[in-house]
Amino acid sequence: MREQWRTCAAIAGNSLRLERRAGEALLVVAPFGAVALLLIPMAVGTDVPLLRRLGPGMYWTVLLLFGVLVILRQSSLQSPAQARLLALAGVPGAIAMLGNAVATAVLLVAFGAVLAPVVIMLYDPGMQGWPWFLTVLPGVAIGLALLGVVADSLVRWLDARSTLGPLLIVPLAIPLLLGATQSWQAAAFGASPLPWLLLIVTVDLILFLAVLLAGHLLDVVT
Amino acid sequence: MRYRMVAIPAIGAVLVLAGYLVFGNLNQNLVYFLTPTEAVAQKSSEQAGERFRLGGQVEEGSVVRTGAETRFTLTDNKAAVPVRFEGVPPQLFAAGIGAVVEGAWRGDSFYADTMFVKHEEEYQPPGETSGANDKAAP
Amino acid sequence: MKPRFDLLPPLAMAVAAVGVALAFIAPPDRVQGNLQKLMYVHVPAAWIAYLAFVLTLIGSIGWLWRREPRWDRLAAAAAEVGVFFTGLAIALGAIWGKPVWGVWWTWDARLVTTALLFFVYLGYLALRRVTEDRSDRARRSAVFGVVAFIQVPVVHFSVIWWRTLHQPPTVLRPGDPTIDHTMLAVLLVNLVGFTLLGAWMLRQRFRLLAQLEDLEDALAARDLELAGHSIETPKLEGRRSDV
Repeated sequence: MREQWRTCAAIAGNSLRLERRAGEALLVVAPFGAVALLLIPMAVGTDVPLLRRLGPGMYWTVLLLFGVLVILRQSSLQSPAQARLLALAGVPGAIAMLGNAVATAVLLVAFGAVLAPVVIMLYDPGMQGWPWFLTVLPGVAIGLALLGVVADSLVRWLDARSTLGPLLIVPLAIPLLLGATQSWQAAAFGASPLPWLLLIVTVDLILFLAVLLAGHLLDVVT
Repeated sequence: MRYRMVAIPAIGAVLVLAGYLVFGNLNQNLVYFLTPTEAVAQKSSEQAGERFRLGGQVEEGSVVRTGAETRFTLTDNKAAVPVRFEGVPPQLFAAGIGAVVEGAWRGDSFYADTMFVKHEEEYQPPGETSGANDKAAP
Repeated sequence: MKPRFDLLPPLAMAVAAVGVALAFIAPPDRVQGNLQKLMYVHVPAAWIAYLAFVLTLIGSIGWLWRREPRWDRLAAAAAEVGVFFTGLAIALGAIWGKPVWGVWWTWDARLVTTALLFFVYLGYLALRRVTEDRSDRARRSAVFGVVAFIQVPVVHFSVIWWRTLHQPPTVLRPGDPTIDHTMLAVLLVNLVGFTLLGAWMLRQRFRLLAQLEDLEDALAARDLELAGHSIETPKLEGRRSDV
């Protein structure tokens, strides 16, 4: 068992090392997301109360939609030959997927941390209950990462993966988006965001099981 | 890889969490619209101009249409809120029906710009009246 | 091909026609008037859509379990039927909602989940379309069919927490249904009619998929025959026509 987790950590470390060299997620995707946040007020109007209401929702929407780019970027790093090598070395599919999910989750948390100051500066949303954000963001990142590796394993090596991947991921990410935005609203209205946080945790666990399932069923050297 | 060693505790945790979320009455404080009682209670603590949704029964005989504005009172039989709605109300809008409006307090009135009509779940041919509808219109 | 008289198409059309005729005769609703008659098409369309997606799940699990192509064909055909009827239900619901509620769309759990099903299964069909190898396609789509179906109740539940404006279920509710009995009877006739139509469509698609696979096999066999056994047909890199 410990062996498996070590393999998982090694795959995650490898993936993160590649990201550090290329810097694609944080130097390309993050600025792209920030530009989106800059564009929205130009589209809907620069009314301060309106932006204050839109801010948190826009933050999570951008994190979700642009996070998909981070998720799918991860997968394109691995060539068929590498995957075959991993499989021949006896690494189970689910472990390889979990390793990639860990790396993606770390990158998504970093992506979210970069976007947060931008949204605070441009939209000036209410900051009530900000400590909850520190738990909601990792929860959402983990969920998105797990969903991402499942979708990625489904579209792997297809020509259309960069367009099909987002279509498979985004509709299924609705509970994460709702959990994130509603926990913010609950905090803003003085209610406890705990139910929404529990919802996010539940979704994370379900998606973890989905990774095990997909890893088990798609674990075929092709 | 022994999937079972990880999968079974995870399934158990999912079931416990899902049960807790569904049956734990956690959703009582997830407010999608406020009732008139809640709205009146929150009015003092609320910042002026804070938007929210208000839902209740349209009081009999309170509907006044003046040009682009419709005035009526939303009630939950404990509290009543005067509402000024700007825009065209839905076709079904009438006294005695349930409605949800979105807007903000301005003075003692609630200024709304969006309205949803909650229509009854009974389908009845004209002429007949069902018991549930009689109760709804006291 | 088959000399036996096929009962399903005429039966489906007859029941659907009777259903539509009854819908015109049925009394109008007290509050909603004739608008409410959209219910006789909207509810059956939604019902067939949900039923079809359950069949997709059954087909997916069946394929993963038995690895027989007919399960995969069932899943694919059901997904196509389901996507069509989901789209129909959403469009009719919007047409009904605009005069009655004053909005085309409302953010109710049932509506959002139905829209989500529409997009998820569009994704499912897209995934099938871009995968060329037959068993690979079956495996990928079966896994997606199962994973998506696990996630759908979670989405539904999370949207329910938004507190709902849509009416609670009228028929599928414990106790006496709160719908006039004539109307309920007409609705039931329409449900049966739509179910038959859906079954007919499903069967047609199922057969067509089988025939397509036969055609592919026949074409592949013919190519090999022409080139002779010592020569293989040229293959584009990354494309596998041999499996």
